[in-house]
Amino acid sequence: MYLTEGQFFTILKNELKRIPYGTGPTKSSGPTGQLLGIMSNSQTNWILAGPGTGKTETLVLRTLRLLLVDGVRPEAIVLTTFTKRAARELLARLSEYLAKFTQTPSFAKTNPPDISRLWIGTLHSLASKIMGEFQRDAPITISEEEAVMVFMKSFRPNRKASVMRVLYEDLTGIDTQKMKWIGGTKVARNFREAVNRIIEDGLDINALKYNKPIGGKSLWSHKDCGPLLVQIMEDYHKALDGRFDFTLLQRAFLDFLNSKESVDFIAGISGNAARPGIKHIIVDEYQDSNPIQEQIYFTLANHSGATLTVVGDDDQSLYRFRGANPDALVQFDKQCAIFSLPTPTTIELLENRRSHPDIVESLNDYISKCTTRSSFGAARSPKSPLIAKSSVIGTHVSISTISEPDLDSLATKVADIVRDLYDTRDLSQFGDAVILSQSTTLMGIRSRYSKWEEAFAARGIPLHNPGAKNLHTEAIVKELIGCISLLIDDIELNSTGSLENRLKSQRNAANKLLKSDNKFSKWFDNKRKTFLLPSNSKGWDKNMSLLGLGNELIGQTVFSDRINGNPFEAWIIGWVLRQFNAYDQTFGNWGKIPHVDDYPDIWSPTKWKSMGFKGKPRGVNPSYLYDFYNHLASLVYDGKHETPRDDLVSLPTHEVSALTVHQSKGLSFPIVFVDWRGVGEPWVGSSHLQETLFQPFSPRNHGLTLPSPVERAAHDSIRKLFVALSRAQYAVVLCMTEKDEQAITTDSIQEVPSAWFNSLQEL
Amino acid sequence: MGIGDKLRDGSNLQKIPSLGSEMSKPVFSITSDIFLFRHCQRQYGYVKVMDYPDEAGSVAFIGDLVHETMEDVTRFLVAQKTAPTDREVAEMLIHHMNNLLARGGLPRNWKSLIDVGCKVMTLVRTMDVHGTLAQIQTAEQTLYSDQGGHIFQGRVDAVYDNKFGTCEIWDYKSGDDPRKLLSKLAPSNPTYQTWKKYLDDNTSQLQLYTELFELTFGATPTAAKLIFIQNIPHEPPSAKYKKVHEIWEHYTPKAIPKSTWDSYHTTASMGLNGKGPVFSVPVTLKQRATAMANLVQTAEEIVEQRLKNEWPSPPVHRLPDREKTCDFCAVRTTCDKY
Repeated sequence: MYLTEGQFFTILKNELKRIPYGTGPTKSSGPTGQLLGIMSNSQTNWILAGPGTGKTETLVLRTLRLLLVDGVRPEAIVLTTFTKRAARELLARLSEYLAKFTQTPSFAKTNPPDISRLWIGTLHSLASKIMGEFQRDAPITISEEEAVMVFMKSFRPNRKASVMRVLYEDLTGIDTQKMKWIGGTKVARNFREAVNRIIEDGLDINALKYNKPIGGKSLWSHKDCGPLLVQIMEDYHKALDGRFDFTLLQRAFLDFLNSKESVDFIAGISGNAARPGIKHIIVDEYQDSNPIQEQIYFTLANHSGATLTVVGDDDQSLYRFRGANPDALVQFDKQCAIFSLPTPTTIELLENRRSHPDIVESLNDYISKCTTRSSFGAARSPKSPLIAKSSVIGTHVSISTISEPDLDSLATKVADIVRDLYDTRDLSQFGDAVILSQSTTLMGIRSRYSKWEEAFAARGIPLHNPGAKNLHTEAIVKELIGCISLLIDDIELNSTGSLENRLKSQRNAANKLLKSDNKFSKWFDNKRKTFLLPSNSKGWDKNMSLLGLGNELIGQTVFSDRINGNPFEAWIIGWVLRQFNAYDQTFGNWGKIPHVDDYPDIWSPTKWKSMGFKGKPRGVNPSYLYDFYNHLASLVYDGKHETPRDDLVSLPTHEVSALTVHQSKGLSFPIVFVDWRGVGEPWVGSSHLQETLFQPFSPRNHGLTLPSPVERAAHDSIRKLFVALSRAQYAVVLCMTEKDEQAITTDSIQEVPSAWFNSLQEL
Repeated sequence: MGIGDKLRDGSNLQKIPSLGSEMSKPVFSITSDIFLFRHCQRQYGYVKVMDYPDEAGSVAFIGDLVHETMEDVTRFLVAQKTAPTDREVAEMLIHHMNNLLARGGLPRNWKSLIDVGCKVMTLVRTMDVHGTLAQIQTAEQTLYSDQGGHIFQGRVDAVYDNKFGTCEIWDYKSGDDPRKLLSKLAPSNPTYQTWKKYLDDNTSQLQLYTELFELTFGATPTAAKLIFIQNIPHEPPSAKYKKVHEIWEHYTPKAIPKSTWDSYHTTASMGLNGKGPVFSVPVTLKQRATAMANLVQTAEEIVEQRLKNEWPSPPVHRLPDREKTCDFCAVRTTCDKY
C-alpha cells in the first residue's frame, strides 16, 4: 500500500485538480457516478457511461486506486479496451497520473508500482502476450491481410454451386441472379465474415454442420446451407496450417483459460510475487464485445475469483459489422447469474462534461423519443438522462438543422458558415469544425464527397478526408498493377477463360505510361525479358518476390517522383505493397515468384499447348498468374483504402476534417456538422442477417423474442446518430436535403423521430 | 448579419473552444520512434507512420531470436525457480525461430543464425553456472516517463540485481561489437565513423534508459551494460547435424570459466578498448541530462514532421549509414539519396 484512501483523494484534488463526482460505495442508493466507479469493492460492477461522462478517467483512477491504495500488484490486473489507440491513451493517462502521485511528499519514493506489468491492451494483443508467456506452444498469429489471402486461397466457389448461391443470398441479402458466378474478393470477404462469426458467436458447429438447430427453427433457405458453410470454414482453417487469425486467436485463448496451462496465470504461483494470479478484470467499451469475448471475460472471472468491471454504453455500440453485439452490455446482469457471479453493482456515469447544456438536453430528448429503440429489446430502458455539467455555455444555437434543396447548396451553406466564423475569428482554426458522415460508403462516394470538397475549396477552406477511397480508380495504382501484369504475364493469361480480360484497363494504363517515358520504357523492356529466361539462367532472379518487384517498379522515376511528392499516393502505394507481401507469403513459392520450369510434372509441353499457350513453357508459373488475377488483382480492385489516422498527432488543426462516425468515436469537436442522408428503409447488412440466421445454432438467448434484421439495422442507425450528435462540445448542426427533411416530418425515418426533430431550430 | 451569426454567443461569455483539449499526450518509443527517426526521417515516415512492408522480413531476425529467447529464459527462471536445461534453451530457440519463419522472416545468413543460437546457449549456461542468471531480476522491463508534453517508453532487456542491493541494466546486442573495428581503424576512415555512430547511439540509448529507470522506479542503476552476444566465445557445434534445430538440440554448451567471465566485468575489459563481450556505458548525471534534452528535442521534431506529413530524405550531413540502414530499408528504391 502506497497511500491511504484519504491521501489518494487529497492528491487527486490538490495535484491533479480532479474531483471525481458522485457518491462512494457507502451509500446504498441515489446517484452514483465516478466515485463509486473508482471505489466499488463489489465483485461485479456494471459501469454505464454516457458520452463525455469521464469514462476513461474513471477507469484510470480505479486502476490507480487498486495499485496505490489497495496495494494490488500490477500483474494481477487485466485492463482491456477495444482499439490500440484507446489502449495507448489509457496507458498514457495512467503514466501521467502516476507521475503526479509519485512526485508528492506523502508518496514513498522508492519502488512505485510498475504499470508496464499491468495486463493492458486489446484482447487480441493480450491473448497473444499471455499465451506467449504461459503456454509452451503459443499460437502463431498472422496478419489480417495474410488471413484474407489464405481464405481466398482456400475458398472454392464452385463447390455445390447451386447451394452456394442460396447460401450467399441468405448470408448477405444480395440477389445473385445477375451474378455470373459466386466468386471474387467481395464474395470471399463476405464468406469469411460469416465463417468468423461462427467462432465469435460461439455457435454449436455440429448443430450447424448437420442442420440440427439447438433452439428454434432453422432459417436457412436450403437444408445444405449450414453444412456448406461449415465446410468452407474447415477448408479455411486447414489452409491456415496451424496458424491463427484474430478470430481463432480468441478461441485459442478461451481454450487456454480452460486448460491446466493457464493455472499459473489465473491462480498465480504461491510465494512468487511476480505471479500473483488475476485479481481484477476491467473491460472498457464492453458494448463492442462479441460473444466469445464475453465468454473469455466470464471464464477468467469465474476461474480466478477476480472482480469483473465492465464499462460501456449500449447506445454507442457501432461495431456490429465486426461481430460486436451490444447484448453483452445490456444483459450483463443476466450473464453474471448464468456464470454464478453475484448481481452486479450498477454504476451510472451521468455528468456530461463535454457538451453545451442544450445539446445534452437534446440528446436526452432524442433517446427518450426513439421509442422503437427500447421495443427492440436490445437496449437499456428506461435510460437515466445525462446531466449537463460542461463548462461550455453561451446563448448561441447549440443544436440545429440545415435543410437545402440539394447537396450542392447544402455543402455551400455549411462552407459559408465555416468561412464566416473563421473570418470573424470566432473559429480560431479550421480544425475546430468537423463534418461527420454516417458511413464510409457515403463518405467514400466520390460524387458525394466531391460536393463538399468543391464547396469548401471554393471558399478557401482546406478539407481533410481520411475516409475510404476506391483504390482501383487511383491512376498510380492502376499503372503499378498494370505494369506488374505486363511484366510477369507474357502469355496474356488475363485474356483467357474465366479471367475475361482481367486488368485490361490497368494494362492499358501501364502501356500509356510506358509510351510517355522512354527511359522507363527501356528499363521495362529489359526487365520483361528477364521474366522469359529459363529458371536456370543467371538472369532469372530466384529471389524475386512480388513485393520486391513492386519496390523495383516504384523506384523508377515515373513512380517515385509521385510517391515522394504526394503523401496520399505514398499512403495508398504502401497499402498495395502490404497486399503484395501477404500474397507472397500465401501464394509464392517460399515467398518468391515461381518459374514454370520448377513444375515440370505439371507444366509439360503437352499441357502447355493444351491450355492454348504458344511456344514452349516459359516464364512465371501460370497457376501463380491465375491466382494473381483472381485474388490479388481483384482484392486491389475491390479494395477501399482508408488513410490511417496518425494517432500520434491526431487530426490536423488547420483543415476541416471530414470523418465517418466510426472514425470520430472517442473524440470530441467544438463544432460538428452531421452530413445526414435518409436512406429510407434501414440499411440491412450481412451482420444483421447473420445474427438472425445463426440464432438457432447459438447457445444464447433461447426462448427470447429477438429483434428482426430490419429492427437491428434501425437500431444501429439510431446509435450512429447518437454518437455523431454527442461528439459536439459547442454546437452541432444536422445537415440534410429537403427531401430527407420531408421524410422525417412524415415519420418515415425511424432513427429521426419527428417529435424530436421539430424541436430543433433551423440555422 | 453573417450567415454564422446563430452560432455566435450573443452574451460574449463563450468563445468557440479549440480542438484537442481532451487529447492525451503522445507516447514515443525510444527505439522505434526516437532512434528510427534519428537514423533516417524518411524511413521513419514510410515504415513507422505509413507501414510500408519490409521486403525480406530479415532485418531483425537474429536480434528478435536473441531477445525473445533470453526473455523466455528469464521467465522460465521466475516461474520455475531454476535455470532451463540446455535442451530447454534449444527448444526456446527453435520455437522462436519457427515463429519468425512462419511470420515470413528469413535470416540473412543461416550460419550466423546457428552460431548465435550456440552463443546464446553458452551465455545461459555460463550465467547459470556462475550464479549470474539467478540475479537477473526481470527481463524486458518497460520504462515510462512523463516529460511534460510527451510520454517516453523504453525497454531494458534485463535488470541485474547485484549483491549490494543495487542494480544494473543490461541490453543484449546481436550485432558485432563496434569496438573490434574501432580499434583497427583510423578515425578518418569512413567505416570508423559508421561504427562510432553505432556505438554512440547505443551509448545514448542506455543513458536514456538509466535516466528513465530512475524516473520510473526512483532508483539509479549503478551500471548500464551492452552485452555483445557475437563476442561470446563458444565451442563450434558438431558437424554431424545439418539442420538448424538438430544442431541446437544436440549442442552441449561449455560454460565460460569463472575467471574469464569475471574478467569481462573488469573496468579495462568493459571500456572502449576492452575485448570482452561486455561494454559498460558511461552514465554520469551530465551525460544523462544531455541525452534527455536531446530526446525531447527529437520528439518535438517528430511531431512537427508528422503534422506536415512530409518525409523527404535527410540532408547529406545527416544521411544514415548505407550498409547498416539504407541497404535494408523498405523504401530505398524510391529514395533520391540511395
